[in-house]
Amino acid sequence: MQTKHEKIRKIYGICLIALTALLGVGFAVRALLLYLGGGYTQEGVERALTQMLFPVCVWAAAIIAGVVVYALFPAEGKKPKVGKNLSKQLAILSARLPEEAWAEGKKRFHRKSVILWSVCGGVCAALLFFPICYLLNGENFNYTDTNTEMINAAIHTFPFVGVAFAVVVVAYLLQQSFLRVALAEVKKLTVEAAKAGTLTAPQGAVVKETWLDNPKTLWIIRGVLLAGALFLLVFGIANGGLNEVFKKAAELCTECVGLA
Amino acid sequence: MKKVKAFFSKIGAWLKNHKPSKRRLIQLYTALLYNANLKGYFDGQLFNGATKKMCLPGFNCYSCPGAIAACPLGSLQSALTNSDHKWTAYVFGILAIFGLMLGRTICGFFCPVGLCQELLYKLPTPKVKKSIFTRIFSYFKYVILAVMVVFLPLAYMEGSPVPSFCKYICPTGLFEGAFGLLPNNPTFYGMLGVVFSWKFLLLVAFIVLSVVFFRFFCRFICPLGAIYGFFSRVALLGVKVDKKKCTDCGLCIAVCKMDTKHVGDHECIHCGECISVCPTKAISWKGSALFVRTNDLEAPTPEGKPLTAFLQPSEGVETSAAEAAAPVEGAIVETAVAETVSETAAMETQSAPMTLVDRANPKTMPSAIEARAKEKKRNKILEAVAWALAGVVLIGAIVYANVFVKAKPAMPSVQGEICKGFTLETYGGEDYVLSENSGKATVLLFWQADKKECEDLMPTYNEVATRLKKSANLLAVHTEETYGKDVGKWIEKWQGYEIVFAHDSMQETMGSNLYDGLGGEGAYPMLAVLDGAGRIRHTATSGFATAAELEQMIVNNLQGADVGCYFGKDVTLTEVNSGAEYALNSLSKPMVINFWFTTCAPCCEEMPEINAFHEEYAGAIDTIAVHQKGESLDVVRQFLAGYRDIHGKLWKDYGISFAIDQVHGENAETLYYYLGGKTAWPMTVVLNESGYVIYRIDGKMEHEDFAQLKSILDAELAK
Repeated sequence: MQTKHEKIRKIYGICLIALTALLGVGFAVRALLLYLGGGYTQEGVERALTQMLFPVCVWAAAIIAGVVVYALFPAEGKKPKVGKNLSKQLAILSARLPEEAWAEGKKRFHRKSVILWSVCGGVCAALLFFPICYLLNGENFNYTDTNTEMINAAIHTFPFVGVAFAVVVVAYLLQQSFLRVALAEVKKLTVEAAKAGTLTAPQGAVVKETWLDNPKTLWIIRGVLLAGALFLLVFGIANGGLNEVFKKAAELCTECVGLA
Repeated sequence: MKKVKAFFSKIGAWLKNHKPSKRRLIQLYTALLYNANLKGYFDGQLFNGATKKMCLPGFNCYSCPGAIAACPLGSLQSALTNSDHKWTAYVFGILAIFGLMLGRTICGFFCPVGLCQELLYKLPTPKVKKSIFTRIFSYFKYVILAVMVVFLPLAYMEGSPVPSFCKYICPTGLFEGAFGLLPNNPTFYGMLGVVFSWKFLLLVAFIVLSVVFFRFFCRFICPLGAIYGFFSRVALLGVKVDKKKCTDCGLCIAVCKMDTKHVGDHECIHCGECISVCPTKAISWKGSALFVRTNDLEAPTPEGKPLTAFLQPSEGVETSAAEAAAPVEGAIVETAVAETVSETAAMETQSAPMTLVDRANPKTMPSAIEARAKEKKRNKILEAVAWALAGVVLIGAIVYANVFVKAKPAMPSVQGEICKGFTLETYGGEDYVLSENSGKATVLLFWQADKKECEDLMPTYNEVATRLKKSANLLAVHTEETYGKDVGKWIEKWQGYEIVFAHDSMQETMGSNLYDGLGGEGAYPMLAVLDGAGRIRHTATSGFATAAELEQMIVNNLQGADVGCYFGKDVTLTEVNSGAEYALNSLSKPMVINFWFTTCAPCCEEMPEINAFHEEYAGAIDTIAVHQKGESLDVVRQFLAGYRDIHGKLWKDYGISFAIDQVHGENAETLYYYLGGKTAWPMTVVLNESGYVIYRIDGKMEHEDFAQLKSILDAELAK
């Protein structure tokens, strides 16, 4: 029965997301057709919306049907699944080992991590150097055609950022493999230490407090930030900042609503 | 019947289990408060009350017709690009205060965009769970913040500002602004182009992705969340973890749908869902001691074990294949971990005293429990008061926005109405007074210094001004306020232009500035064409990007036969006796054109008076009597040579000229037709030297008509 309920809900979910995606594609295609077919007009938009009315009603009906599905085949509350945290396990186990037991291994592990993240940082810095140079070059933003300049800026920035993210992902995956190797080593040593009776007593709480957890430090930082914020606020108001914000907000921002 | 009852009871149970939480109610309340100008959705006008001087903490486009305050991100980009170099610290200050007071609690409680995403996420579809990839990708919003909100607007600081994030990425501008304004402002459709299309595609993508990703926009794109994330550790409100109680079990992170690594870090939106799952009650709200007691244990668990006991290490500990084959060794490892966890739990459970109570028997309830009950009651009262105050604020905001703040006054923006007189102060010249410039069209281009489209259009406008110099006065009118920008700097750039640069201001005749008076709806540039009589011929916010389009728009709307219209046709009349030519599109003096034909008695009756009128002006005007088309030259000459008026004077001796109408132009139409003639004869039309119709009359002119014409001509000649 449980499995049947789950199956029904899963099928419904897949159908709904497919319908949602199709509806989204429908709207996108309609908008493109309007734009490419000579521009947006009130009549054209009204016609397009009328044509999309039926699919939207179908989608809305599907959502209402979902209420019924979930009422009839309710989902049971699941216990949250705590993910495997390799570094936490490593910390717990290595803390119980005698001091010299894993010294070499620990050094090796840290050295590998440092090299990995240094290389990752260097590669990311190198990758981000080019977009930063592009953005700082005023000649690339000389109002010839703002839209084209934006496209060029995006072409010269986001691919590099994307590659940098990919490098970080690869570095993380490598770090995980290092952790697995270290964890296997530590587990072996734990077993040996347990058999030899040299496992140290458990340390207790594993969550360390940082300097920011000190209430006094926190309040000092808050005080400084508040003072700075109030100064900026008062200075800005005295400088006519309220009027500037008002003028921008009270007039139509054609860029914001896509009219520019 | 039983089945139906069971069906409805299931629905009822579902509704009961899914009633909105307090956080959801606060989100709904906030969305309504931010957009309290409800009438804006009906009249398509933006709210312009004083509350728009304030920035909202959450994301809400200020071009939404319902918005009663300013968007913090849009204001930030404007502040960064203030070309006056007068550092607008106000926005930075207010963002810092919001961050310090609320941090990312704003995202969890006070952001309408977050609310929309959470509602979309509720759709029961397969979801994409968070992972290390989503966590890494969550840093992308910092890239957006740096590039689109900071770098790019600063790159355009020297010229017209470009709020890059608002223009190219922000979906709320479209969702709230465009969709709210378009139904009531059909003129905006012509302005929709590639940017709108791009943002529409993005909006659709964000909506679809929000169904499968929890808060897709918040996690990966929103720069405002990125800014508030900097204040996470120091913000006064939000969730906090008591590290002395925390056993690092990871349940809070497991249940959290954001990409948090620790509760309260820069990704945490402080929704509080982790509070209920924490087994040691280590998570609580900051400042909770003020209103509620911190989470305490009330009674031991039924099993009699510390709550952490259910966290068996086997859930989190991997065992290799070798260890799987050696269960004894695996058990050793498990025990080593378990001892650590239990030790932590034991240390903490010792510090949390537990008392077994029987609530049914008040005598067993110690005073601490009584005090707790009193506190709960106090908290309920406080909550009720807080909601009541919030309700008062909301109602007050709705009443203020919809009743006390007046919409921009309705003006004669209907085409064909005579524009009320106005006076515009020009930059470095005399005031431009509409009444002093009657007889010639006035074309007004309303612009703003911080709009790129306006800057681009000015040379085109000047090109047209040069060509239409004789027939129209072209003015570029800057908005009433300058946004703190030095408009003079812009005008210096355009020194030598034919355009007259003027400055909008309050017009007493209109009760508003000229832009509002001509029906301006907030969009720039706006073109307004007034004919020589001050009649509003056309207003537009699009369709004039090129010189040809602009000129066509002006000329098409000015041409006509009514008083104030511009004749502008390439028509040349030839005098029947002397052969002199009169080109009507290049007059050197006002011209009276009288249409007649030989067998028309009223025409023959009035001709001597027209001649006398002409002679009275002694060469200051030209007068030409145009015979109906179709008559031959000889017949007309014969008539002129033989016909005497009542004073005995031959018409050929008159001072006025005579011509015969012909067909002109591609459409082969007569001048009589061009000047609006239908069936009335005689017809008299007067053109000023700019080619504008300043007078017309169908039928014979009487004494008072001549008097009126005299006053018009005197005024024209006096210019």
